[in-house]
Amino acid sequence: MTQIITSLAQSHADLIRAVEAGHPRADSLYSSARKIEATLLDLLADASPAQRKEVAFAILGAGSLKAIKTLPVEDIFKRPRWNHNPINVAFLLSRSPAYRKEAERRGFAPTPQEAGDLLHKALSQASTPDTTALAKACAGMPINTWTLVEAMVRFFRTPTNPQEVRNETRQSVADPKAGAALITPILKAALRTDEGRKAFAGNLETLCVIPSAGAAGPHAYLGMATYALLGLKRPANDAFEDREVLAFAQAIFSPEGRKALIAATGGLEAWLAGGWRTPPKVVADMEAKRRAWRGHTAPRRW
Amino acid sequence: MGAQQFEHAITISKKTTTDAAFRQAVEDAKYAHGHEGYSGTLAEKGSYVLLHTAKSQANARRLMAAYQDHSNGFSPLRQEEIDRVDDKWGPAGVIRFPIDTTTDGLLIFGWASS
Repeated sequence: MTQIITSLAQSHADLIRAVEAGHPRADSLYSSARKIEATLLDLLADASPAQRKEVAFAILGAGSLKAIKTLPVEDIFKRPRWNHNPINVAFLLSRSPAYRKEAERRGFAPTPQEAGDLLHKALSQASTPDTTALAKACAGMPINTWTLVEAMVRFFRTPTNPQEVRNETRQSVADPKAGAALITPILKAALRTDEGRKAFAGNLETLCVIPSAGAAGPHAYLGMATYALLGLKRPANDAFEDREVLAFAQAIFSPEGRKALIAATGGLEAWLAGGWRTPPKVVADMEAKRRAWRGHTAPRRW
Repeated sequence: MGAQQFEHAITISKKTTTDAAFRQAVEDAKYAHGHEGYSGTLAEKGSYVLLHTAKSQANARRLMAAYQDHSNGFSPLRQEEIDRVDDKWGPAGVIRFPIDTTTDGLLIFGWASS
């Protein structure tokens, strides 16, 4: 019984992969996959709980939402148990959000290494149409989004800073628009996680302590604008050290200011894709103050 | 001979000047680490730059981190600002902040020969 279930599950996954790869006889293969799935579900209905657990790894990789729902909801796929059960993580992560949710409920989670490998691969192919699909896949990943961001940090050695991610992506991806299309949903999804929000807020607070408007680094104000476009909350007034920096933050993080910033830049994706090169007036004014900085040892002009 | 990053936190009375507090902190460091040099501590420093008077301890610590950690290529501060305290033979960086109505804190940091 378990051997037949394993074979059917494997066949179902192979057919689905062939259909998704654009096989010339896709319709016929898809029809066969539906028939195999029906048989698989019948067998799973007859199987005992112990037998279902035995074939759990085969079902996990079968690509059938109905089949995975028949598995008991417990930590079957916790990492140490993967060792002798090869799982095609890329195939799993390319399933629907509902499928991944069911897998996650049963303990499935890609390691940062696996997620990073996928992301790296996606970035290297970012000029292909797969980019949009992967961006959607990343954005629809409620639990493991942060894993992807962690992986990105590891690969790009960035402090999870949107501006830095943008720079690194620009270097990795030939087309900045494709890079921005990939990164934007990941950043937005990361903001919805507690870890992501905390990391972004920590970065923003570090930007807020700039002791004077002219002392800011080259990416500081562009970074703050990126956080405003991302939808991050402004830190409390006490986190700011300089009046001009506080006024700038109040302007771009207020509801009206944020709306104006989005209208002027076209939103986060357009901003990351290159809109930051011609920032709106509110940001450009701060940039001008930064450029007007004079050294502490520079001679006075009068 | 190399260089080490150091940081030193002290609490002082509001009436104490930054200069007097710095001199005393250097003397204490020399007492603790010796007078022979190359200790990689505050004992090697003969001068300081008061970089900023922060609103709170949390802000002072964040600012100190911004001056110290620029290895990731994304510092909120411009390079010329960081360079003020980026020399092992140069002055130490000092940030002063209030703790309560009678006491202030000083963060002294920078590079020192070791």
